[in-house]
Amino acid sequence: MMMRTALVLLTGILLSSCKTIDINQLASAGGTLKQAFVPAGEAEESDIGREAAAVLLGAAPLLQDEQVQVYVNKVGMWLALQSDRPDLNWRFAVLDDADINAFAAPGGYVFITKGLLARLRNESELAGVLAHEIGHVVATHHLVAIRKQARLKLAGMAVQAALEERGTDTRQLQALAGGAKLIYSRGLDRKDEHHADRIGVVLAARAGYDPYGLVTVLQTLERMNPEAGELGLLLKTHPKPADRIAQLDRLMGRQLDGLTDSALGEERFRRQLAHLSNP
Amino acid sequence: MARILLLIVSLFASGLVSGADSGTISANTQLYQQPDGSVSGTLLANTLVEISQRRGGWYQVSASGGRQGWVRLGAVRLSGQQESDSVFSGLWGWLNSGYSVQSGGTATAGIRGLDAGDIESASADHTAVESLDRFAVDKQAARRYAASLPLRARQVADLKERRK
Repeated sequence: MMMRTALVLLTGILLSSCKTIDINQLASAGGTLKQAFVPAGEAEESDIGREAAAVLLGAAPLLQDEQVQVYVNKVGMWLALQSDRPDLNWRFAVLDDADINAFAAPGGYVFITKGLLARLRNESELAGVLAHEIGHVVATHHLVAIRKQARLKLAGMAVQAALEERGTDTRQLQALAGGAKLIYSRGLDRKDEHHADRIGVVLAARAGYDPYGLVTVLQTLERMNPEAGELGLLLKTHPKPADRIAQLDRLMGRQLDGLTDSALGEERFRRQLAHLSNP
Repeated sequence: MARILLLIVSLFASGLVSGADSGTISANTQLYQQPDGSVSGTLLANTLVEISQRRGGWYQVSASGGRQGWVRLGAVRLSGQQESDSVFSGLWGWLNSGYSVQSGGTATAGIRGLDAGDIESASADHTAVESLDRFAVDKQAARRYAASLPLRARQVADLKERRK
């Protein structure tokens, strides 16, 4: 699996940056010629996603609470089923971190911190957050950004040196992990965040939830003191909540007001988290 | 600890004062008699309002001078602490439990946040990624769980950024 990622990345780098390379050299560097031409696709996305998810889980541990973890998977999977990519290997998880944030990684990984979870009021708000992250995955925002960063890192090495180096796989994985760290600590392009907001609202509405869940979460963030430590990384890596609300307000207009039978899921949300109030 | 105490006190206080949410009108906005009903006036930017309820994309508000009605959700910037009816207040203890850090053989608990430095210095944890499989649910289970709320899937068009 790692070898495949390495080959796909290496192939991409070589084809894009060094057109005169001898193809036999390429094949001998990484394995067989056949392997070298495995097309970049969902396998590559899955490999990169696993590495990116490993970086996030290396920075913050999983919350040790099976009930809550399974709950977010049930809600998340139902939302993912409304997307264009229902067949990805979707994995949802709560991070044991008091800060307010959520993350996505390529291939179907979605994380929410317990700090954000604890500030939500109902399941439609949870749906809004998870659907925003699903939006990043579906639109391959992190995949494109991490791949670009990994290529830049690898391009820093002489191509010849990379070919002759033993342990090329390790270098490729380091480049991927490095790219993921850069993207998660500095954030995506702001237009990707607005794009994920648009997708998120639609997925939550398609799933039967109150379409305003994401908007009301953003209003919760907006009212918090921006100097509060819990919001540090989120505000550093995302557009201002007010700007995100303004975009959604402008684009949603009243076209989603006609949806009937929208669910807030307040009861169920409270029930699923009740045991956490008295740990 | 002082910060936590202060927040608990302010949450408590806001609950005692009104139990309602308050906010500020962010830009001049129309006040409606009912959601999507007839317009009864205009609320100017920076007008303080009390929010009594939300219905879809609308907040029911009351402003000084007895003006009452409905405004669009996006027209209001909420102020102060989160209202006391959220599950939030009950989860303070949980949040405060934070990480358990082994230090010199004793476990200490405290809030710590995930910042850029934590991510940059992280060692990839592949075992934790594998462990996510334990909590995964299949499509059927997700559909059954949705139906039990009940949630029903419906057609909704994409939101597209309009060309300028």
